[in-house]
Amino acid sequence: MKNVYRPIDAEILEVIDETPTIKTFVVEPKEDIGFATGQFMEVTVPGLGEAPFTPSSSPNVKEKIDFTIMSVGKVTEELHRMTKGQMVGVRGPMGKGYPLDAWKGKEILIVGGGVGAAPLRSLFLALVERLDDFKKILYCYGARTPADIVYKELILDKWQKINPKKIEIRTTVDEGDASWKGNVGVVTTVVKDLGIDISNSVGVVCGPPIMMKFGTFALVEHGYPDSAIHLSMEKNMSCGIGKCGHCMLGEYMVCQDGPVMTYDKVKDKPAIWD
Amino acid sequence: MISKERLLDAIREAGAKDYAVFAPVAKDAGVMLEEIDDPASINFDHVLTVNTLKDVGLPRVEALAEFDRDARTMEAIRDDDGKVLVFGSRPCDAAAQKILDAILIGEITDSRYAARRERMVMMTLACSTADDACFCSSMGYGPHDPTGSDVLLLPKGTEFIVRSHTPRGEEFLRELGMTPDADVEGDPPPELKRKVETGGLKEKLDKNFDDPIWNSVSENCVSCGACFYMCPTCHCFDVIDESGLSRGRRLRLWDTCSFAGFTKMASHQPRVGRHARYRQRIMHKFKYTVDNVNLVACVGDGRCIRACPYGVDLCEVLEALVGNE
Repeated sequence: MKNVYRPIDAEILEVIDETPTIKTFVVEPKEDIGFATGQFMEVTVPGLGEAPFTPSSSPNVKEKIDFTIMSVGKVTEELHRMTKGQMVGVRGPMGKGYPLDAWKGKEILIVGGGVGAAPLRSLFLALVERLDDFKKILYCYGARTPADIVYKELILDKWQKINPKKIEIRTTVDEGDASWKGNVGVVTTVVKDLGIDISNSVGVVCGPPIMMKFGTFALVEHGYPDSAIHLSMEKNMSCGIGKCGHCMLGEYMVCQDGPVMTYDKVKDKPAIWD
Repeated sequence: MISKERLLDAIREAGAKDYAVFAPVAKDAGVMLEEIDDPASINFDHVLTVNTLKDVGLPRVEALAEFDRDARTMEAIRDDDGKVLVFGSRPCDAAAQKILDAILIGEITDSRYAARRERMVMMTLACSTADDACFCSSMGYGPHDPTGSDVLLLPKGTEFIVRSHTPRGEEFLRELGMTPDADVEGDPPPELKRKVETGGLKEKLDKNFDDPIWNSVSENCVSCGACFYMCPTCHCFDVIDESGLSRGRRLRLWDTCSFAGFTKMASHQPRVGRHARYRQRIMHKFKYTVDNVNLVACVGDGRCIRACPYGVDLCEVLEALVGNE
């Protein structure tokens, strides 16, 4: 029987500073560990524990995996002290990711905030790598301040140039600074004038809890059916295999029934925005 | 039929055939289910053991891996592979094991638990007595119910009727040269004084998440977790590394929704308040597990009622929930 608790060794190949509190770790797993975009893994720092993260790299790249991680707890603080050449463990992949095959021929609206940019980068890359399958991508991303924008170079520049006819990226910050010429306001302030055929569209929302709530409400207001809105639910996943009880949302084990769940599945569940 | 003496000989023989034998033994704290060397120490007179079969299948602490913090390595520990005989558990505990199986084994399987269960034989001792907290019959089981048992021993006078209920039980009896008894009636099961009517409970729980009743039914709960530790079906756990050590173990530890830290993430806490935690425990047992595996995660063993230091009585809570409009 496969030992579901055994982490695979992975070497840190590179550490990239993204924002003052967020770094991307490029790791090389020593055994095959593929994933679908939106699935998550438990990353081990031996002696400190495991924490769940969704890879931020393309699922089509097998030999290395990126994790973009905010320093916020004991495992992530230690990760932020780690450097190239050191080892971590990875266990997974776990749960259900984004159903890309079901989105063929559709226009895709992505609403993201803060470190929610991490899973969304994996999704965005996966979409771009098969761009012919989709009609359009509109990515609305909000950060607290310009300094907090994750993947600045990609979001503010490179991704804008991939295919301007099919891909539009809008950014906003809650608080601007002297250098910021873009929109100021929460992310929902740029989720308007979509130019999207809602009847042939799916929405994706990923970010901190308050943004998830108002991002989802915005999509509902635009006329998205509940079943077309894909949420990335965040909980305290521990075992990752649907047994330990930490990540329950109603009867769902978010680690297995999610983390990507459509709004119709969860809208009547208790305390979904908490 | 088998006499107690011959039964103990059979257990002795199981030990000789490399079974680790777990059985009830009298200790200062009460009758405990423990690994034993000498079957003569087995206690037959208790209502229930203090601890449950979780201590065999899902131990309160177990090492999953060993780490070296400086070398940044984590080596998984192999699953146990020895045979285990659990002798003398009561029918409610055997039924609880079947609920744990439905939850922990399945489409996705907890490999540690499944490895233990694969080599575990359950020889259950049907009840001759019950106490004021027992309510197994209200949960659809009973003092002589065979659910979850490979072999069930039914008391008849000073002897026992042997019934096999699974292929594993048949094989085990053959291995020990025992034969199951057919067409013999044992002593009548004890009468249970406590009864709780749970008809309509699930339908109530489907709708009453925001009902103020959760404040009143949880009023006396102090979130100590005693009910969880004693419960044969509560199975939540955490996976943590021993802290502050350069070499240590990754442990799986029992954990409970009664504790405030259970759902806490580094960034925020989604479940706040004692009533919310108590509600989660009831919902998990009587609604969510029904939704997921079509079983109620309660066998009516009554340990939570006996253990609660503040007199929270599950049956009273269930009645209040059923009766609440």
